[in-house]
Amino acid sequence: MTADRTIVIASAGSGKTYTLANLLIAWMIDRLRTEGDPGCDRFLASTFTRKAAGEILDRVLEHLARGVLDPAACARYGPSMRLDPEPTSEEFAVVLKAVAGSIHRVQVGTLDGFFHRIASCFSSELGLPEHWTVATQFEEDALHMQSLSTLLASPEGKNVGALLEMLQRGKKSRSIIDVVEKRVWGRDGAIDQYRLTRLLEDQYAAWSWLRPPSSTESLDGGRPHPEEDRLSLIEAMEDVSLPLTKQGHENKVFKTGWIRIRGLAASEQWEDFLCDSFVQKACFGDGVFNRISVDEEMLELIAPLVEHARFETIRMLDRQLVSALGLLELLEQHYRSIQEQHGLFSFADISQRLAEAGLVRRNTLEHLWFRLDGSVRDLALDEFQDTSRAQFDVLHPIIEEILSGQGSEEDRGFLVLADPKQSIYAWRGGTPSLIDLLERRHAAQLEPSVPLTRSWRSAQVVLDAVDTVFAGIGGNPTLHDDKMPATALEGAEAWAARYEPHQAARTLPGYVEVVVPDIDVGIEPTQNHALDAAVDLVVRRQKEDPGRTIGILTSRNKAVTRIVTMLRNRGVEASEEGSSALTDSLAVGAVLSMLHLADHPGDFRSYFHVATTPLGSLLQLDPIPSGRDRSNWTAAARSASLDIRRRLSKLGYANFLQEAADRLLPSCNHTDVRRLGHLVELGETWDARDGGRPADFVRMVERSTRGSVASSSVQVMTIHKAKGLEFDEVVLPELGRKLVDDPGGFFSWSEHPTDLPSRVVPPIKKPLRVAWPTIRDECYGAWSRQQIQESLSVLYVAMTRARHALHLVLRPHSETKKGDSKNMMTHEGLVRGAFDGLDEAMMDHCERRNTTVWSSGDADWFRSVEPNDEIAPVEPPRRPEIVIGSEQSTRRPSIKAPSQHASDGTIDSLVGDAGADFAMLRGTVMHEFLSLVDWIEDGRPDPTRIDDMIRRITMDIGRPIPEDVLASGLQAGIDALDHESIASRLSHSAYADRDHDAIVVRNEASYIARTGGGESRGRFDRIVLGMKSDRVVWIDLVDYKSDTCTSETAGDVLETHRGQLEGYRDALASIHHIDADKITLRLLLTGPGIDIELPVDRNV
Amino acid sequence: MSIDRVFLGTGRHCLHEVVDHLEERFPISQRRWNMEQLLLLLPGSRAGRRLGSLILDRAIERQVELVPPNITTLGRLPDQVLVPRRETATSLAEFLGWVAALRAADRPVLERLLGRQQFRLGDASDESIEAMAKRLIGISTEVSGAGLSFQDVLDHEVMQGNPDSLRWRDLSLLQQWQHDWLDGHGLEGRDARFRDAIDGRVDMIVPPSIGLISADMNQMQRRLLDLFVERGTSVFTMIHADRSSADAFDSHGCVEPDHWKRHRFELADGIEHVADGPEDQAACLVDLLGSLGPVDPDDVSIGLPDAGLLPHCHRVLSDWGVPVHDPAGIPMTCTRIARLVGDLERFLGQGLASDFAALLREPMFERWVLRLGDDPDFGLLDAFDRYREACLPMELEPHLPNDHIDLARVIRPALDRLDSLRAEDDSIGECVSKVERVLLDLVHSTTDLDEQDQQVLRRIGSVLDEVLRLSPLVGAPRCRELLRMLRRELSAQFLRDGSIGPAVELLGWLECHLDDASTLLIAGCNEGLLPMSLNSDAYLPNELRRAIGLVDNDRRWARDAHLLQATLSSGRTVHVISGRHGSEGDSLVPSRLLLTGPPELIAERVLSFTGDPARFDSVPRSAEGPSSPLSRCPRPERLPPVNTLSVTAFADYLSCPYRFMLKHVLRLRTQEDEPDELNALAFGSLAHDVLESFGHQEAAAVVPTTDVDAIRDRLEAALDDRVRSVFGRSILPAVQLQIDLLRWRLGGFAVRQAEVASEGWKIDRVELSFGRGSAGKPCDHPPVPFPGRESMLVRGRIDRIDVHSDGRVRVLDYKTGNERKTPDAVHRRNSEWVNLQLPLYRRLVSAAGYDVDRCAFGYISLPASVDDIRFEFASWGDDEFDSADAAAIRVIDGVLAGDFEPSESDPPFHDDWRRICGTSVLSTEDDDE
Repeated sequence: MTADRTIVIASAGSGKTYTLANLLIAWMIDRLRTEGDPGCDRFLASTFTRKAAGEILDRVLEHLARGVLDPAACARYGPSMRLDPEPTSEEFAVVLKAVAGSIHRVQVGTLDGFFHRIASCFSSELGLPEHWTVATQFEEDALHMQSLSTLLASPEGKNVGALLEMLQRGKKSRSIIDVVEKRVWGRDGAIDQYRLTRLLEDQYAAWSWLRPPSSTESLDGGRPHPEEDRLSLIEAMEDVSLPLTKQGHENKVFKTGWIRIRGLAASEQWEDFLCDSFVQKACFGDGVFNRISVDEEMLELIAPLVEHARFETIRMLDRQLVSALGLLELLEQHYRSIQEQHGLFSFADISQRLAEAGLVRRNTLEHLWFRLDGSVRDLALDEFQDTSRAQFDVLHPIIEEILSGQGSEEDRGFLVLADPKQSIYAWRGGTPSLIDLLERRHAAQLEPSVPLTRSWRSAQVVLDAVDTVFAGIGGNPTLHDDKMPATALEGAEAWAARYEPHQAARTLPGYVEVVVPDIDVGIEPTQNHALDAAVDLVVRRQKEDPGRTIGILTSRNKAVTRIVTMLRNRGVEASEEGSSALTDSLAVGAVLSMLHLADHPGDFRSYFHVATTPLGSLLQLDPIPSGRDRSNWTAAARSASLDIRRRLSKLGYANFLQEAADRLLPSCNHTDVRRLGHLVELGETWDARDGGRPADFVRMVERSTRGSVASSSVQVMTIHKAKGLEFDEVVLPELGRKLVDDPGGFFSWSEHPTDLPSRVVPPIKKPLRVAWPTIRDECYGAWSRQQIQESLSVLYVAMTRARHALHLVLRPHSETKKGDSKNMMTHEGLVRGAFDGLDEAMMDHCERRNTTVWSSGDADWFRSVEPNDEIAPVEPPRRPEIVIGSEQSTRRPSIKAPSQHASDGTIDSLVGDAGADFAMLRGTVMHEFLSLVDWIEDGRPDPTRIDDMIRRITMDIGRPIPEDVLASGLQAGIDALDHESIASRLSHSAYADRDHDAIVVRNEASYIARTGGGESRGRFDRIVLGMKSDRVVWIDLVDYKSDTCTSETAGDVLETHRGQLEGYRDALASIHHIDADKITLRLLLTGPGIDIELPVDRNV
Repeated sequence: MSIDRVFLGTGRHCLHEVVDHLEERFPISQRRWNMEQLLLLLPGSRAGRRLGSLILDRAIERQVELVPPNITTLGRLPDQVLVPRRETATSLAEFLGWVAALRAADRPVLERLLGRQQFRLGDASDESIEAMAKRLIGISTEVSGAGLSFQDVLDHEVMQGNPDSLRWRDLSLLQQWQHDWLDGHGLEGRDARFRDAIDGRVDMIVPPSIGLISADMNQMQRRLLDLFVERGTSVFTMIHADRSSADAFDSHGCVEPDHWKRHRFELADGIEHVADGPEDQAACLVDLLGSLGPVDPDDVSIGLPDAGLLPHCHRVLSDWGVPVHDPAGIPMTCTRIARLVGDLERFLGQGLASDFAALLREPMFERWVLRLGDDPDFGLLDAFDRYREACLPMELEPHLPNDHIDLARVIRPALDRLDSLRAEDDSIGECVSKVERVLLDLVHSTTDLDEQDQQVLRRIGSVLDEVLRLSPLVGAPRCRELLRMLRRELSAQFLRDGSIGPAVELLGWLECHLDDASTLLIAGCNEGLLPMSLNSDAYLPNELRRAIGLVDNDRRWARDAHLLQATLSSGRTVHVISGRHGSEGDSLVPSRLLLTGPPELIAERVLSFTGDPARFDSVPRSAEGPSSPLSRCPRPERLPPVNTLSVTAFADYLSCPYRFMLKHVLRLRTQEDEPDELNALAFGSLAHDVLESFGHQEAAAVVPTTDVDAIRDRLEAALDDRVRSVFGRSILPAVQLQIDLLRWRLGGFAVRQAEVASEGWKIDRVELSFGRGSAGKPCDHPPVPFPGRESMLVRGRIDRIDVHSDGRVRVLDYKTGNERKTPDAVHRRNSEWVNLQLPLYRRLVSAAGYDVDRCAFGYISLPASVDDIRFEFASWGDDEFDSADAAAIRVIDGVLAGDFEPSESDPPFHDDWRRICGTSVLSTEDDDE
């Protein structure tokens, strides 16, 4: 039985994808054996990214294929499948065929994708509008701003300032938008906290936990004291005799402090009172202020005031928190309303709505499976440490059903693959402790498993470096530094509790070094120095050993683009993992300047820029004159701006950008050409949107990223993006981020990391926290614990991407005025504290001016390793040899219909008048009536044929013919026949003078003909064919017209329709293979009863 | 009688076989090929047009008169034969009917369909209702295709005990309501007519002969054909397959899913390719074209089951000189007139200044405004940019602040016209007329109206016509809703690419089979696209589809398998390309169609797919590289001479001489447009203006004010005054908050100001200027020659000078950045001067008669944290000042020598010159102000 239920902890490089793929195959083979059907559409395997999901499915297919073709492969995969007996090639074959046949139903994807499917099927249940779709980041940002504006414009908007101030801890930044983007909508922003608490039964409780439980006490010993008591204490403070110095004098600083806190108490500035250094030292410190002990008498006087200050400050914080909740609730309401209006939602919104709606419930799963058109029997969750609480809440009913053995089937598989050490998505809600929760809740149902620790990826030297940093993390001096919160150490130890030393599964040569940039003494080292050193290193490595895959992993996206550009400037092509800005191209910059000028004719900068590029000639710009007179500039820029906007408006963005790109191409390098291509693509996307001005497009372009211009052996990306990847060499140039940072605003606290939050903690100034151990130790302690764990995970992920070589680039040693090493509370500090002798070497570095300050392993490792062929060579395609045979496409001829007149380009009215509709329909009836007459000698149309005619017209026009129109049309037809001239034209006698031995009439005859270079298609009202020996020898074409005219104006009418008649003539000549001069063309003007022939054009 | 199944055979193209068959079935007689009685049904109109041409070719070849058949699409069959009992509801009428039905529905029904949340803030939004109406049209059409009503679905056994039955009951009620509503207005829905036709309740015209080609048909089409057969029509269905595959097709000539499940494709060697990303697939197409030798583009078509590949293919093929043609065309919504309609609709909604700014960017609109404003040469965009930058308005106010009086004059008539579109009590006729008049007026503002514009206008006209005709149904919309209706109707219309030159056609998958190019390259053969599959749906999941007889995944597979097989065996050169990754880097899997056959073959195909895909460089390179590469930091040929420098310009030169040149020598003005809130400059200016006003009062007073409250009151009054005069009444909400923030900072400043006043300091001068200022104000002193470089004059404006009764002087500059920075931190980095403002003030105050030796130079910082608001001074001694002078001389010498090389150091985060300097991606730090 393989449908096991396990949680497997898998370290980096230990073959997680391999294990997962084999387990999925094992499940299918097991089903095949027991049920005769592998049920390949009955499991759900999810992971964190679409890319990883693709790799899992690829691996499943690949293993199956290899197993089919090679029994030895089956034997190789067998052990990890734990099937008894071991699987055979035949079984692989059956499963492969089944998977191939139902690959559209195989559920290997991301949780987001799974939730998206659910949301698509249950949009109304989730409150998603019918037209909802997933928003791009650009759109999401726009929605954020719109909802903020709506809130600000509402009566409650005036309170937003207070919320923002609170989020900034008393600071009031100039940019409201900046603060809102960072503190409200940003990572771990206030909205995230708010949404998390929405999952609670009592949301309010989490936001009002600071509320004093009674009027006599508050958190951690806060207590209100009556005003008279306080006043008497303050009064007494004046009389107290201040302690003297050893020399018997009053200490001035001490005295000032004492007076200051008395003043603060008197003016009831309780927060400042608690933060005051005197109170801090006296009441929360060692009782010594300015080297003088605060005596008992003084302490007794201020202790009640401290209690009161605690009470009042907490009350104020409580009020702020609760009002923040109200505002966030309103903001969320506005946001949802705007989202619903636009139909734009993020994946996080969808998870949240699913979790809130409780849609996935054990007793309603059948309904879920019905709409999803498939059920989930077995569940495999990869990268489980990155699962958020909201996602878990959605999944849990399914997990419970599987583990409880209930549901439609009992024998159900469950696998969780996780590595808490690689939990780097806490900011997106990733909660590694959910692994513990699962283990705890389902201990009885889960089978024990062996962690995967053998690395198939890295050399032992690299793994040793990893072990050195992480296995002994508890002893790292950085974590014992006074500046490091106490709980950070605790958190680090907890992180490493399950740490097992890493063993290389293969013998690979390797090298680890710590590199420090060489900068002049006196220059303050910055992170950019380290980036520059990393670039130097990579350029050197590429020269001495080209073709190795090198991953430069950074903390920030901005650093990625910087490094890529710098490498490119030095001749090393580097590719990015989906994060490259289009604006890294000069050509794109020039086009954006042009668009900026379109939007802002007053921007001479853009005019100058455009004028100095080939775009200047496209727009026929003059260079900016160098004189002082600006009037020419203004006129020229305005004219250019209008010209660009006209072209944009007429051609659309994509076409115009393509024109611009074509103009720039001769001046472009390879990167520029690619980027211009991407720009044109964005233009196409933009054209499909609902409008927007050039500046909006420019903003979108500036925020857009595109894949690499070329896939190269050097790849630059953030550490987060590198998860799941590996490289021969890894360079880490951004190790200077803080290990533990203060929260950016609100954060939440829960009793246990897996619980939903029971407290939302407001940002509180550091000195103030000390007044409440609950806040300082519990809340901020938990925060620090979580922060350090994420920091460790980020470094762990970064270091374990390396196969052979790991280059850690540290900033040079520098010291504070007190002589302490700077930058130690960072990854740099951890590294310095971990490797023997490194810290000393760093301190010596300034003198030694050596860039490699520490190393281990073989620096020449690459000499003993064959280059791999991961990066396939990129070749240009064979150039097509295009031969244009004719000016016109033979398969796509131009099609003309003579009855459609070309428009003269003027439009004076958009709306037709009812009379015209009447006239047109009446004309149709009359035409059709006349078409029933072959020869007048045969009599007038009989009622049956007229009925058929009416039905046909009804069908053609899609509605019954109004009685009045019908009557009028029929009468017009009858009246027409009453005209002598008309009747005689419909008579045999009209053609008596023509040479023929047979005469044929065709009414309403459809035709297709080849005329000129194209085709003519249409319908003749009436043609009369003169035949001789079965050949057409002449044709008379009759076109009925109901135009109002007289015999004097009939010629004008004829002229109006000349084009149409001549078109008919060409068609007839082509169809019947006769000369044009054998064709007569005429109008029968039915109103006045005029028969008028088009004079023969001798030139025909 | 039954439908005659005609097996066209394989080895030739389908349409060519069809022509042969038609000639056989409708023999030429007396030099005439008469197919007048034939109704010929094809899956798509493009194939119909092509078949018409091929028939014509044959007639020409035979030199006979052609009487063509009536060729149309299968989807239009009902319209060709059913006689309407009432006026056929157009798509607009159907839509309005569903909207009306939804609006009339009970709240619980609507809550079930739209979700409760939609009603949280009142009634469901128009967007929500309209989207649901659109969805219902789709469901109704599809279900009707099976000859069913929603009630039939509800009654189906698959719905027994299904929780969705409640929803189908709601839908059924709505459908009945919509039907009755249309009926009540004398209209008949097409779906209802089709359903009734099956039951014989609709009169129909029975064609004598019907021929068709279709791999699959819905139930209703089948039943209609059966009805015709019963009534004596000769119906024949043409199947592009050998007779030996008869079992693979049913009696209607449609695919038999069970048979095709077992089908195995034989792919010739070398025709299957795997390319990595979309660009690689496009380049792979180029490569395949390159492999064909000389090629006439008319002989090649490219099939793209993945429409996402279209832009890539279009671009890459064009780059490689391959002419391409996309028969699908572009939606009318992508045209300028449709955009204008959308922009107008948006502006009419809230009257936001930002929406008006967007409208002004459309040249037609700009010209219209200028024409109405009777000032065609007015710099409208410039003026409007300045207005928005200065006033940050949310809505366009009736009266603009005085500084923008010319702008107000020009835009007023246009705003009045637009205002007239906002009237609430217009009749539908008035609405239509107003919208028509404004649109025509706008259109007449342009001189380059082309055929595309005219097509769009004609369509708009026909919609307006229809709205008038349907006025009882439309209700009483306002002009804005009418504009939205226009946009929606335009979205369903396409403008075809009318080019006629030879070009490679880019086709959708379903068009490939009946396209007759001799070479067909199919890219994007990946699962989910080929065959398409639908695995989950809110209303019609696959299980339900199967149960009620709609197209399901099995039928899609069968259809696509047949089409691929027929294509492969049509004697053409065919290549299929699968992609490994999508445009987002997501992994793709191969099409199931390519994974058929024995397991060993599947295994080999899988391994070739998962192996290294072909990767191409899609960019054509010229051997010699760029002819005249774009240069970073271009320089003009000549530069005007520089003889004055502002004190702040020195910092610019020290930061980057090239940027200095752009800004101070060429004096390139920049204009941005991000009026969501006050930017750093505007915030600082506002603060400076207020402080200047306060300073003037203090300077004029005999005794400095020491009372905090009095200072605060004066500052607040100055702020209010300034806000009123600059911003008017409609201030962006974020700006209002920023004003509050400034008020808060000024409050903090008041405390410090009172302190210094108490210490005996009095404001002596405010905004003391040396040389012309940027705003063209008269100056207090001429610019000052720099000692040692007298040809260079230094100009500047000192925010404030305080004097003490003891003769000391403080020369002060206000700083309003978020972070407090000391003068030294601002002026020096790593001991090097990066700014010379305060040292240069020494030269200025000296010229103004102050004793420099008694002067202190510093900042009044008003940062974000009120605790950090303070007066602080530089503590430089003579050595530092000397070195600052030396630095200033270096700057002056550099400027005079024309040394404007770009700096190699990192650009600042907010770099106005990033595009010119090519440093857009290099700035990494955020130095707010």
